[in-house]
This record gives sequence, structure tokens and C-alpha cells, in this order.
Amino acid sequence: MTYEDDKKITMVSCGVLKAEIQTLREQYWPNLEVNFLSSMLHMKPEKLAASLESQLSDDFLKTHKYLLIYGDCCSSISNLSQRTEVVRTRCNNCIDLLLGREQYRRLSHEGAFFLLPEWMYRWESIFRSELGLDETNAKSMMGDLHTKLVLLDTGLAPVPSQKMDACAKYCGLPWESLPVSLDLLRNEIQFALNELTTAEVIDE
Amino acid sequence: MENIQSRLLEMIQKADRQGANNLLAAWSEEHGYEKLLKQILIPTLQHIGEEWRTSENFSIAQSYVAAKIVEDALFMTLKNKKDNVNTVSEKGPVVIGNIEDDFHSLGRRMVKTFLEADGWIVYDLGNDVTAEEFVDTAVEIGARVIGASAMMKTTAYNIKKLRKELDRRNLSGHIQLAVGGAVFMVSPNLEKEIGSDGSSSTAIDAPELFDELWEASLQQETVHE
Ligand code: B12
Repeated sequence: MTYEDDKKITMVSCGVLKAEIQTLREQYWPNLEVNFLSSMLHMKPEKLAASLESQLSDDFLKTHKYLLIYGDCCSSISNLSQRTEVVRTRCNNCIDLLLGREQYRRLSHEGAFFLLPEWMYRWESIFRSELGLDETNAKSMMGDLHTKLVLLDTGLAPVPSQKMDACAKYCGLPWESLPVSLDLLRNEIQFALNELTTAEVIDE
Repeated sequence: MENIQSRLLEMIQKADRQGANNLLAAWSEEHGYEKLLKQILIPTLQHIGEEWRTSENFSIAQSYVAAKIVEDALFMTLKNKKDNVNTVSEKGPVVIGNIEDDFHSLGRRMVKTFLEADGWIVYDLGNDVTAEEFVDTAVEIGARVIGASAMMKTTAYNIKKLRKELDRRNLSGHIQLAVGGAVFMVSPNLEKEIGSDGSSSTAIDAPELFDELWEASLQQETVHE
């Protein structure tokens, strides 16, 4: 894929989608650079904002264009993506980016709390240390807010069943896995790339 | 008094709901349930209000447990209410909900708890509530205040639709619009931009805000009469 514009396009993505983005990139956009930021920034939007701002400094914008693979994950992200050199994928968060708005809404109304494979490695430290929830409080809070855990299985790694069992037990909720294709994610990234460049995109 | 307050704070710091409940039950048995919320619990929580505003010092678990203790205390108080003692006055009714596309319900649930502890009758419409649903319900039950919760900017912008709907039906002023949620703390202009009548940064301040807005609605009518 080539772009006539001489500014270099870089994707900046949340690390929660690292495996998925790398797979798509190899296949569709092998020449584009991609930087992954830690998915733990999810917990601290102000730190995420600072990281994004340093990635997208005025100096870099002289030579680069950026595609942010992010939802509305911190309050300044909408301002950042208003610059002409920056485009963000159209979504509220990484879950509706993968599922689409309607399925996200439907499952949220059913009480789903979503988990992504990358997040599963750290579920316990997130609940215990980041949120401060011991098992009793986790059960109570998650039971107040949710009815089930839903793992989005993007097919790139085996379903981490043991971890899901442990997390579900900790939260006192049942879990299920939902196979998800990468098509919507790919389409959104392609849409954003098209926005970012007026040049002809020679794809695939 | 100070002793129970500092022990209660300790329990909240440890996010120990059971411990706090035991402590409050013992105190209420001795001093009376009707004094529990207004004399002990709410002042203690107001005391930690500052920390509550900055999540740096206050974990999700601590703030969740603090709100649950209020919910439990309310339940205890009502259960032990003597028929002749009116422990909580009746205010309202008011409508609350998370605005369209917003599913972060924890904050809104806390607002409900604190409003109820202050005697408000609260109609909670849940998550992802459209402007029409908010206004239909407010009209139906005679609410003078609608409280809309939004966690992020994208969803906060959906509150504009609620202001528009109130304007369209000529209800602005008569029905006051309270807003809240994390995003309003980090974007100070947002409140004005979406057309809110008032906001509070924590659930514990919500009753005071609702008092003010209820009053503003009444004033509006006197002016127009
Ligand atoms: C804790 C947390 C959770 C908890 C609790 C969620 C909740 N609030 O219901 C759990 C683990 C359940 C959760 C779930 C999800 N989360 Co979450 N979560 C957070 C986190 C870390 C803190 C937010 C929080 O709950 N604060 C505490 C609450 C109590 O504060 P609050 O809502 O502001 O409310 C207070 C005041 O504002 C006020 N208030 C609130 N409403 C109102 C209304 C009125 C009228 C008034 C007067 C006052 C008032 O009173 C409250 C108490 O004082 C943030 C990141 C961050 N640090 O901000 C991400 C974050 C909000 N979550 C996010 C996401 C993506 C999700 C999920 C989709 C993830 C998933 N895996 O499913 C789900 C969505 C929930 C759902 N039902 O589908 C994103 C949202 C992005 C977006 N645009 O959608 C965030 C921003 C993380 C990020 N950086 O991307 N989450």
C-alpha cells in the first residue's frame, strides 16, 4: 500500500488489540508503522492523554500523520483527533470497535462485562490492585452492575478458560466466549486511513 | 461522636462493608436509628468529600463500599423505623438515568443512594436512556429535576438532545437538568456546552444540587404566574 502524501502515516493503538492489529497489519498495511501503548493506561485516562500528547507533538506532526486506534478513552482524545494530521477510529471503546454499536448495545443491555484476551493476563491485579476490590466487594459490585462476563474471542489465541473460570468465580458471574471476526476492526481502520489521506490508496 | 466517625472512616478505608455495618448497627441500637444517616454517616462522608473527588486517594472499592454503607444504613433505618417517627422527609419525585449510549452505571447508582438517603423519591431509568424517555417519565410523574449521568465526552454530548427535547416541549426551567459523571470534572466547559442547569462532582453533593434545582423550578413558576 502506498500513499502519495509525503507525510509518514503511523498507527497508534492501545496494546489491548496488539495481536489483532499486528495480524491485520501484516496482511493489509505492511508498510505502516504501528506503536502500541500500554493497555494499563485504560485505568488512568489522564496518563493516557499525556502519552498520546507526547506521541503527537507538534514536531512529529510536521512529518507524520497519525491514525489513533482508540475509543473515547480520555477526555482530550477528541481534541487531538480534530487536527488534520490525526484521525481516530469511529467508536466509543475497543469493545464496540470489534462488535459494532448495535451488538455492543444489545449485549450491554443484557448486562455483559466484556473481556479481551490481552486483558485476561492481568485480570486479578486489575481487580485487586487497580480497583481495590477483594473477592467479597468484587462479587457485590460486579453483581450489582453486570450479569455475565463475555470474552471476545478474536481467534488468535486459545480461549484462556482457566483464567476465565477464576475471574468469573472472583466476580460471582457466569462467563461465555463470543467468537468475533476482525472484519469490523479492519473496515474501521481502512475507513480512517482513507480519511487521513486524499491520495489514492492501493490496497491488497 | 468523633470516635465512631473515625472508626467508620477506618472501615471505609479498608473497604470493609460488614465491619462498618456492624459498627453502625451497634451505635444505632444505643442512640436510635433515626439519627444514623443525618448525624453520623452523611457528615462522615462529607468529611472525606475532598478525597472522594480525587480518585488518586480513593479507590473504586472504597467509594463503592461507602455508597453501599449508606444504602445498608437506609435499609436498616427504614426497617427499624417506628411508625410515629418520620426519619426521612419526602422530596421529589425526580428522574435519573445514564444518557443514551452510556452504560457506566456505578456513579448514577451512587447518586440514587444519596438522594434516597436524603428523602428523595427517585425514578431510576437505568442505562442508555433516550431524551424522549427522560422527558416522558418526568412529565408523567411530575418531576422538576432530571439527573443525567455520562462517563465520557461522546456520551455527554448526547445530553444536548435532552436539553433540545426540554426546549421543544417548552419545559426548560420548569424541569431542571442536572448532569454529572467523570468527564465533567476534567472538562469544565462541557457543562455549559451541553446546556445543563447544574452539576456536582460527587454523589454526596447531589442532594444539595437537587434541592437548589427544585427550588429554581419553583421560582421559575412564580415568575411566570
Ligand atoms: C471502574 C471502572 C469500571 C467499573 C465500574 C463501571 C461503572 N462506573 O459503572 C467496571 C469494571 C464495571 C467498568 C466497566 C466498563 N468499562 Co470502565 N472504567 C472504570 C474506570 C477505571 C473508573 C470509572 C469509574 O467507575 N469511576 C467511579 C464512578 C463512581 O465515578 P463517576 O461515574 O464519575 O460518578 C461519580 C460522580 O461523577 C457523580 N455522578 C455520576 N453521575 C452523576 C449524575 C448526576 C446527575 C450527578 C449530580 C452526579 C453524578 O457521582 C459519582 C460518585 O461520586 C474508568 C477509567 C477512569 N479512571 O476513569 C474506566 C472507563 C470509564 N471504562 C471504560 C470501558 C470501555 C468500560 C467497559 C465497556 C469495559 C468492559 N470491559 O466491558 C465497561 C462498560 C460498562 C458496561 N456496563 O458496559 C472506558 C470508557 C470509554 C468509553 N467511551 O466507553 C474508561 C474511560 C476507560 C478508558 N480509559 O477507556 N469500568
